[in-house]
Amino acid sequence: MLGIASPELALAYVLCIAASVLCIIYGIVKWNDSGPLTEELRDLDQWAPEGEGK
Amino acid sequence: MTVKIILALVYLAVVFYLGYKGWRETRQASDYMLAGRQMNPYVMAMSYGATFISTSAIIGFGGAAALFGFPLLWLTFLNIFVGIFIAMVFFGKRTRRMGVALDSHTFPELLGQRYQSRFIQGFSGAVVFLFIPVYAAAVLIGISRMLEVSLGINYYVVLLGFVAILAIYVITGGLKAVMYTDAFQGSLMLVMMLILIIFTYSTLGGVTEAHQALTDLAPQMPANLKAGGMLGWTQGAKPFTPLWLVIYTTIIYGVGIGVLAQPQLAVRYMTVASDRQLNRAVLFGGIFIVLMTGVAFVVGALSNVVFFRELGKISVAVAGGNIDKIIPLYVTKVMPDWFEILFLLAMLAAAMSTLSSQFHVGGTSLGRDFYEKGLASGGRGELRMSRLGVGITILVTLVWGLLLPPSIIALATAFFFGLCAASFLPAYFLGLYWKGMTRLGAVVSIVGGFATSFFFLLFVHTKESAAIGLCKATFGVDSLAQSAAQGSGWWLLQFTDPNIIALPVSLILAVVVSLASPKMDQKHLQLCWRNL
Repeated sequence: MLGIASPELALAYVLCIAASVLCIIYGIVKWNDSGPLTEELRDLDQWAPEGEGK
Repeated sequence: MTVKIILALVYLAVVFYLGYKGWRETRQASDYMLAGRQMNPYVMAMSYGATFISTSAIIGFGGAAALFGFPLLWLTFLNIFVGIFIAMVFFGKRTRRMGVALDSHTFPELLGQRYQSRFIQGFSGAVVFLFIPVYAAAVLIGISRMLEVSLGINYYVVLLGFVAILAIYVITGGLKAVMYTDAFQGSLMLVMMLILIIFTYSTLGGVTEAHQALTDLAPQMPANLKAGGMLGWTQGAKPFTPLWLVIYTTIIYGVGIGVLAQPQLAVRYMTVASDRQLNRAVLFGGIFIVLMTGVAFVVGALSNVVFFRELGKISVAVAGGNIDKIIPLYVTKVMPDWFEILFLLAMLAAAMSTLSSQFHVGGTSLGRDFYEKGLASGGRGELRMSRLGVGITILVTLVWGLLLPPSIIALATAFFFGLCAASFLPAYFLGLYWKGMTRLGAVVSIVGGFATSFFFLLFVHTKESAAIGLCKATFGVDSLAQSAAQGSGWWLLQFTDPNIIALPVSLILAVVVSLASPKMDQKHLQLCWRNL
């Protein structure tokens, strides 16, 4: 496959690209997922002195 | 030559500007150690990637790919899947959340606070501080030799000049300066590698055509490699032959898994404000790594076809047997002139981004973890101690750089990766996921993993034990495994990465001792798990 003699190594080649694609898809799907911790920090920020909260 | 010097000066000007920007924004210890926990995801991902991938990954391992061919692509797969995806999604998020809950500033501090142990923080800090200069020195030697050849400047002048430039921005600007410069350097590396792969595939007539030409070249595989078990560049090696063991255990398993417990990488998870930045960093990181080691290994292997067509010899023959010269020779002889200059700068960037992070993590390990916490010296002047720590790490690296032989690059990289994995990985992973993991379990796992790995490096794994020489001085042989019957399991241990043994030992110790020792305080565990 793809001019690579060993099927095991052709699989390695394909998996490299597949792993990259997985990272790209994961990043896009979870682009705005900030997890639980930001909420908690945001809550804390409400009590921060003026000008220091975000 | 004038163009080379002008481009190098422009590059250095940008690096200094970014270092200055980092310094201006550094006001307190958390800025210096964690970039204020507010890093941009692109900067974080590029910094992670550029720290991960040094010149040796491209030049050293790219040269190894010219020798062994496509089996090295398994390492690229692990670099992406384990080094980016698993690392950021399954380690990064929990590390960041637990790091915030415990207010940890460094990787050893996270371990120390998770297990409420000053010993763990001090011991881990000492391991990092003592051994990272060896790894850093290897990177330093590699790039200094390359610049010596390319620019014709004296080796020692390059070595000292290089260290001086890094010292200025790492000591003053801390992790912000390191990460800003890393992101710029990573971007430069990315563009150069993209050009390299497009040029190589188009020269050989396309992807499948290029691979097919490499497959057809198998009869040219050198006899000594065939004797060691190699079949061809796209055919791989016969299982359980000495070369198969070298490729699959040291190169792929050792470096591929070792990445998960690298202190200079793990600390980066704690530099971002939320999971969102880590999610985005997965995307950037996945693209970055495939273009780094993926391209280096494919081009390294395909260089055999290009050289054979142009010069009638395979790569290792063109390079006179020195595989570290294959990628530089390929760039010089095959790529256009303008590319050679920019590629040199990209390699300079790869070395600087790795070195700056090594100096930074070595410094904070000494200043924060070993001196302040391990020796319980109190928290006064913590920023100054970390700066002093970075200065000392740089000096020790320089001494190693002057002492170590030139062919030590890949060896020292694998050495540090392996040592970190065996010492820290079980305690780190189980500490993030298992409430039943105890302080005693972590102490025994860290010390046991370290000791086992070190024993194998000194007395069994010939590659290191022969170079270090202690085994020969004590027992009169390069490896204790040499005396076993040829072909037996014991005999093969001399070619097997120490981590094949040391990592499972460390893991078993962690689990068994934790099950048998007193549980940790529930309140403390609640604090650790507060954000998970």
